[in-house]
Amino acid sequence: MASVTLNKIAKVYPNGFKAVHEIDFKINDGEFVVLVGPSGCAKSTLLRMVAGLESITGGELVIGDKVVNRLPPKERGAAMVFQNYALYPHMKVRDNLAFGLKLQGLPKPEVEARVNDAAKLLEIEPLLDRYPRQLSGGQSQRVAVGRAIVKKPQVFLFDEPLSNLDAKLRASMRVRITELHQQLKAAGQPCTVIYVTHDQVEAMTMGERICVLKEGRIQQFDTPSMLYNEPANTFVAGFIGSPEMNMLEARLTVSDSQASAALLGASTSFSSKGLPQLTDVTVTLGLRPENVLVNASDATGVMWLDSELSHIEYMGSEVFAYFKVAGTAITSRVPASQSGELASLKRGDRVRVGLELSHAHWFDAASGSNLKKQH
Amino acid sequence: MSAVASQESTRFDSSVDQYQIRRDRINSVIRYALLIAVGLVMLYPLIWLIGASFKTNAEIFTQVGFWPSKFELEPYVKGWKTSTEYTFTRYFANSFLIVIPRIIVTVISCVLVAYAFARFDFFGKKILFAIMVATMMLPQIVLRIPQYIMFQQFDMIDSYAPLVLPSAFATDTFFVFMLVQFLRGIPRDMEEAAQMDGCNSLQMLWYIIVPLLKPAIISVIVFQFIWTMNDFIGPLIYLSSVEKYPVSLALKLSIGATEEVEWNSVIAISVLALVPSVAVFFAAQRHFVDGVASTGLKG
Repeated sequence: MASVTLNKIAKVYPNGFKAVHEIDFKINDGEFVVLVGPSGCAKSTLLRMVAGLESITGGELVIGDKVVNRLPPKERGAAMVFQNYALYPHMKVRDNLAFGLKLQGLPKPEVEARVNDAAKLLEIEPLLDRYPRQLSGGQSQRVAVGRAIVKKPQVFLFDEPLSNLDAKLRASMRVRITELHQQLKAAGQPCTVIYVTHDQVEAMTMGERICVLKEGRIQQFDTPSMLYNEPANTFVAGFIGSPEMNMLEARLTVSDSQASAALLGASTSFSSKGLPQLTDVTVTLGLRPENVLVNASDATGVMWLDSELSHIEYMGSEVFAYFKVAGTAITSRVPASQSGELASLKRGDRVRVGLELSHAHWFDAASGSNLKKQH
Repeated sequence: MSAVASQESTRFDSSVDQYQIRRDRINSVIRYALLIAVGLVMLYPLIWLIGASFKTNAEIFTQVGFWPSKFELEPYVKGWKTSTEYTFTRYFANSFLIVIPRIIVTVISCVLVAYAFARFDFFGKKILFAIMVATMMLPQIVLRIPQYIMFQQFDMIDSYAPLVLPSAFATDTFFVFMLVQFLRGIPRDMEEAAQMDGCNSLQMLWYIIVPLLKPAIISVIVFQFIWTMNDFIGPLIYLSSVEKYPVSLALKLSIGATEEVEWNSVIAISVLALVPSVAVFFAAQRHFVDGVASTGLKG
């Protein structure tokens, strides 16, 4: 039970490489925050700095109301779950769970009670007398979580805990961890969680708020729906969502309530809500694949273009269709029930695609930041 | 038509199987015959030694074969008594008085030093490690004289201290090197987990590193046991009173007597002197295999 505040946290390695650039954010008490980004974005480094496994070279880290920059890991009240579990191979599951508590010098009955509680919560009671080498991946994962829970930490730190599991198990563990967070909250033992992952699905499904990082800088720190619907820049827009958002070059003019855009050899006009005044400026237009229509409808604000079909991916409930419009690739995502004659089309067939510009995101071509966000 | 064809093919298959089985069998006979032959050639000196230990003194030099004409236990009895005032019970005890303390201090000092080199960053670490490895190349003989003078000034000559004390300062650099290499192969995650669990450096060493290092530590124990048990030059230089002699020196003593050498007794005691080293090696063999298997710790 504690908030975590990062005040201009920075990390410079002895060789002069700056991995983390003055990061500022506050995680509220009991909140589930996900740090996400491509590999090398310093998300794990940041987590390890919070844990105390990596030194902090600048700024101030506050857990609860204490500045913990110089405190060793055990005094920070944090527990960590590692990517490859890091269970002690020479100890039984029971001793793995109890090890930290014994070191704290807790009385034996209390240690036993806590271990049993955690085992019950995670359904690992039958495994208590096994060695880590006798566990499957999912079981090891649960034991690793158990080792964190027994300590009743103020902050839980997860470092890509699901990346060693297969897809199916990952999905069920995802739900489990989220449920666990809710369960602990309901039991009056809310815990702050910082969860690191490179998987945007994990981030979107688990995080109450998500911090998107790139090269040691925060790109956007917001709720999942805000990240999806109002990405701060082209990086966030491209990183969140699958298939990736279409990024097209356009020239945009905005005056008063009317905006007009020229792209892919055509032009159209639409309502300029939220956009700043511009005159014929090169911008990047971002459009989610679900906003690219393939079935002619009379919806307003849709820009119809002639395209050539590249290929189709049939996903079961949805169809991903890849088109080429004036040499530019465009992806569309259509529910299978509405795909119509799409399934019968072949590569190279001509299709009319509609761009729903009312749902478009407009980014500055040079900086990549969202034009709406600038105001 | 097809039924005939399938019958044909099963007959063909079974004859191929027969042929394959016969060839495998012949191959393995040849393989084992060769291995046994080479093994015997290598073991022959040892077999001869054991055979000769039951022979009479005259038979050793007159008969070529290793099989004694009569099994005499007398060489063992006589050899054990020795021509000195002490029996080999005393000398074996002396040997263990050197070996056991030396192993204990070796393991403690080498593990501590290896832990420091493998897991901590400190000033001059690379240079110190290079120097340590370089001393491995130094012939022991170069160190004998300065070491002897040093222990003489400490007034430790004719005690076991010069044989045990150096090992307490991790001077067996080979072991340090071996442990460092082994430690480098162990992923750090577990130590980080232990750090999160609240271990300090020494607790981490004791609760996490030492259990993981067990196979390497057992190798250290076995090697140090065998090397110290067989060490001849060390005790020869530092020990002067016969009552403190270990087995290696006592064996030489029984050859160097003025009267005619009782070779059969010398050989009999040599056989007995081999027993502890061989026993320790076989007792630890399982853990060597363990050590190889446990390198892939990741779940």
